Amino acid sequence: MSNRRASRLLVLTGLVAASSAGLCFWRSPLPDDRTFQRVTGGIGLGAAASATWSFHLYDARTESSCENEMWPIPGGICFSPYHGATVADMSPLDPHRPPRPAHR
Amino acid sequence: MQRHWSLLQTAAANLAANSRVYGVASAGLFVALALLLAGIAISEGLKAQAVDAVAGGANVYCTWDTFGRDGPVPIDQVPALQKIDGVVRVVPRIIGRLALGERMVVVVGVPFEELLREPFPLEGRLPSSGAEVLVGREIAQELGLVTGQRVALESALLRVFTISGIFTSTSSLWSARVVVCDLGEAAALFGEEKRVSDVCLFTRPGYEPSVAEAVLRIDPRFRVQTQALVRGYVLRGMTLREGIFTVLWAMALALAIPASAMFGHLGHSPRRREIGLLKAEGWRTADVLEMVALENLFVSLLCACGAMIFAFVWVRLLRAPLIAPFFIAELPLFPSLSIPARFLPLPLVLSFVFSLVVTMTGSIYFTWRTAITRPADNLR
Repeated sequence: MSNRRASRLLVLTGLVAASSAGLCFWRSPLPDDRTFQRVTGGIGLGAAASATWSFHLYDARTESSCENEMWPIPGGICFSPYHGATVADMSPLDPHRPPRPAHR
Repeated sequence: MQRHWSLLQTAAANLAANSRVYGVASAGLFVALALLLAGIAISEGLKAQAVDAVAGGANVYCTWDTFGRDGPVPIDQVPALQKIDGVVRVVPRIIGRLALGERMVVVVGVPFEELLREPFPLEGRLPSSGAEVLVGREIAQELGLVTGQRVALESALLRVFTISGIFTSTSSLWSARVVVCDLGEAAALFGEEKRVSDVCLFTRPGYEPSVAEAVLRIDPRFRVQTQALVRGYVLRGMTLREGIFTVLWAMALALAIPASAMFGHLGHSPRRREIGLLKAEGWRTADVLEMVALENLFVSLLCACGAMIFAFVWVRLLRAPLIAPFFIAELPLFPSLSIPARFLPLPLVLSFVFSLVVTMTGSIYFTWRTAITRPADNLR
């Protein structure tokens, strides 16, 4: 009885390990995005589905830093609840770049 | 070799016989690992999709320097950009934000001919005139919008549009809450006829740097970002963030050590008596330690691999219900679109190592202390 249970557990462990390893190496397709990006010129980079609080978290190309750092208290703390709170936040794009020209 | 095989079988039998105790002891570890793996998979998926989005977008983005910040570009600057050598396509855009019902949406205005450039994965059809718009999946679901319905968008003035299409559930995360319309309509809507949010330049291969420099020569007030620059920022920013997330989660995982120890060993007197009995039967301390280590190996394997399968089903198949807004801002608790996720081998290996550290830390020292105690004291 004990041996049978032990064998079952060994088989179960092997199956679970093999399945999870298989999932890691299986390249499932990402959501189809290229057409949307080509047609709109490219929009969306960050871990936000919209720009309710800030365009920076939605797409740092359209706003290089979080607007909540400048409003309602310029230079004060950032009031956006999502700033630094998501799994893949974007840091400001090149904070050391001179005001103009932007490209170096 | 036979001895190790026997110990392995004994460990498996022990685990099967005490499956409830081990189940409770490793529940915290399992949940923490599942969340960690889901988080890393979403982060990796987002990174992959962002890189894909950068590659699918324009080569050069131009905004206008306004008080040292990114500002809208005067529309009269656009013809000069079209004349730059190497530029094949110029797309001026208006990207704005306004309320639709009680929800905030991103309005993307692009020239009408761009919308018709290639077919979208849509429910419905592409707009046939400026009076029609495309709507994101999430916002359509939240507001109960369907194709053919009329919606009013209001900013500087109020415009009524007809929804011609809704993005499909497999479309990108960033199209979830957008309204895509004609550039002219967006300009009228926001009352900004003479400025656009930015200008996207598509260039011939290899012309990206020279076009960027040419834009700055036209007017130094242009702020320019190239595709290569943005790609670099995306990879660097997201990788750094993911690392911080993993470190924070590793600290949370450390809490599983006392939980595992309390449930599995320290507070479990049958375990002490069992070790006492084994010692009384003539087992060596090394044998007892090896058996417990093998038990931990089983638990760690089952926890890490089970958490991986659970996270996969949760994120990829069920679309991350309940945890989606924790990882991606502005998503509802039950998203209707596919969450970008990529499950990689390294997080699985790390999870297994974490589990092993947690279970070993919680058991090996106690087992050793018990195994070197006189069996009579343990059986008392």
